[in-house]
Amino acid sequence: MRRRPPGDINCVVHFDDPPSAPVGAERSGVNTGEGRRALGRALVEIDEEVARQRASGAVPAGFENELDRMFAELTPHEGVGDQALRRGVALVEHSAAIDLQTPVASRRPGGSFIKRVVRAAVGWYVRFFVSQFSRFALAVARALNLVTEDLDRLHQEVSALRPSIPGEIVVMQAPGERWWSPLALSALSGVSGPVLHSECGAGTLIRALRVAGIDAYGLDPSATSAGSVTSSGLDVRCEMVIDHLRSLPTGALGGAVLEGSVQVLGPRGCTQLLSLLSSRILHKGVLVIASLTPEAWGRAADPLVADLAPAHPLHAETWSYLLARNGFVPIEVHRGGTDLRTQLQQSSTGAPRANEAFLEVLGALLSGPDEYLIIAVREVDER
Amino acid sequence: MSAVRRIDQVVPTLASRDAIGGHTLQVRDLLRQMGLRSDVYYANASADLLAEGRHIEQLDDVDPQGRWLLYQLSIGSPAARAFAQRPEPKLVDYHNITPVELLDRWEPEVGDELRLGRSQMRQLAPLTTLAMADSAYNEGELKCAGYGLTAVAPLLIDIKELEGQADRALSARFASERAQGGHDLLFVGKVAPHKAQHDLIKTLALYRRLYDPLARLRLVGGPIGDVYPWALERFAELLGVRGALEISGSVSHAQLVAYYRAADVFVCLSDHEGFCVPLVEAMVHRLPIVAYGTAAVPDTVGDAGIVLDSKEPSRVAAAIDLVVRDANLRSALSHEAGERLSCMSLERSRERFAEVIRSAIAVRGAR
Repeated sequence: MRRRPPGDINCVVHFDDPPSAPVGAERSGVNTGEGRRALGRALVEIDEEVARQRASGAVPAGFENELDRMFAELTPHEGVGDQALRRGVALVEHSAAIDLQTPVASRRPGGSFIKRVVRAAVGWYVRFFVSQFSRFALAVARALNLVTEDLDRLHQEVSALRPSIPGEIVVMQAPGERWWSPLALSALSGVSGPVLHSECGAGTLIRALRVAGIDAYGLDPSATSAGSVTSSGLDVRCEMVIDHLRSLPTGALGGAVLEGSVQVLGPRGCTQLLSLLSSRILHKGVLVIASLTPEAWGRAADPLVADLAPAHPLHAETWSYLLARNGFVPIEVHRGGTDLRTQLQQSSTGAPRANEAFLEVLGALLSGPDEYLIIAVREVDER
Repeated sequence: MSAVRRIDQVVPTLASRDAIGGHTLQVRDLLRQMGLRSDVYYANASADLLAEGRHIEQLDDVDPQGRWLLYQLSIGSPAARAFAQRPEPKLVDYHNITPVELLDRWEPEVGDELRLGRSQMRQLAPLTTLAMADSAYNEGELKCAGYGLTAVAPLLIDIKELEGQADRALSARFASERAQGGHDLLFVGKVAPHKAQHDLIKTLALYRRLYDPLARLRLVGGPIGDVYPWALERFAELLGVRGALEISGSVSHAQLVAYYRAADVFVCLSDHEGFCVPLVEAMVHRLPIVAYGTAAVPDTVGDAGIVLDSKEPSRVAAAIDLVVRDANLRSALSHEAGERLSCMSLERSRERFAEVIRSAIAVRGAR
């Protein structure tokens, strides 16, 4: 996209087809078909420009997310923990400064003069009350500041006492294509609106979705990972899925693919996540959830991790139940990934029949494929 | 139509310089021209319009025989209760109610009014012969709320009234600012969270960083509450763009015209719009539009602006940059704006509205 000096809006015209026209050509016989074509080209050009800006590093990974976070801190009841309190204190401090200079502008002749006279006449009276109220408000602000400082101190003390738990709960994301990628791609083809892939890793699925003409973008909790994918021109933000969904308006998504830490959300996290998804995903939008089975999690996780983790993957049936309660109709459950039964069957070729029976029982205990994929459609439109 | 002698309107607030207030008076005039008697009943009215109608307590003063009532629905109001209790056949004209969650945390009292509005909307559904909406989007909401017979009937806006003389002093100031360089971005609408002026400030920050370091953003419109405007100013300070941001408050018509004429692009990133008259005003002034395509915005803009399916600041900034430097695109958008406005002319809108009213009467007669 060519750059032009500020103020110079007339000189750069770069559509090859139709031939360029001067600014003064407004209302000069451009027909509706041409207008629509021009709009179509403009949207393509905007897409390309955004990808170029991201690839060039002019819009660093996480920059837009940082803007969202900054505003969230100014939003009532928004922000995490003490951020909301700090915002409240800032607002009290702001409101404590009371302006005594009552506006005197008026649209009526003489109105401004009358207002000035009234202001001067009652000034002593208003000042008496305002000074007391200001003192009260400043005292409240000071008390709140003391509370905030005390909370900060408590947070620090509690953090120091907290036992360290292994950071890596489970391997969340393989970089390459997953067994379920074609299924997700097929389910999401045809959705209207952007598609979000949470914990998108190397962005393989996003790339495939974009090739299929779907406006897909991703989230990744690792700034390094998000940055490296962004530099390839994909839109990937360094953000957690629940925080991101909170920042979206109602009906902002055509679909979503969730994997990674969604597997280890506790009951409160699941409720929050599904409630947000049910308002952010459009009617008839598609939700895809990929997860390990609880059995596979139990086998794979370090015993310490398995015991201390606050949550573990759910059964596919539980997700289906929760989805249905939140306006999603689960339409497909696929199972895949590593299947230990198959491995056992392969290694037992030629074994005596008793061994085969034993392996059959063992295979049932191992519960087959270690991953599943749920595809659900948002059917209830509560907006 | 013989049984129907008059159609009176009930409106929560009859206010001047308000899209629904203007529409209500246009509808009254249209109904009178259709040979019906028609008056407006309000719960509240601005001082200059008190004489244009009567208070809802006076609804009983007219014989209900041969009378229909038309309710202008946009927010929760005691007027809806008075309307629901009336024995006359009922029509509803729906202008959308902002989703509660967009305002609740900022202005809980307004949130309560919106919640009440949604509840009243559902309560009126079984009582209503026909419900009209001013966009297909709003008609969809009516259907979701349980209204059986619905139709799209346009907002009656006198487009010619949107033009006019620009305020000279303000135009001179804008000219002097422009002489220092930089493009002017404009949004007109209440300063309220659902209009998402904070997203415009994000866009301004990125647009200045990537494309035009001298760009300015002008936000025109009165505020809803104090907290959101304060947050906007603080946010602009944090992003280092406070000096490039003007929050004008409510302005006169001549001042509004000056704002439109001085702007390079009209940018609308609202999270919710039931129709958005300022988009039409931008078309009248042949101002290119870049808008986030939510709710009724795509219906209102049509092909007369760039409608984006995301409002990421980088995308909106790229769209603004394209519009300000591509004369061909501006020319095409200007032409489309003309086409769009001809569809919205008062004459055509009145014809369509009258047609919907006649069909409602016919439906009722056939029952």
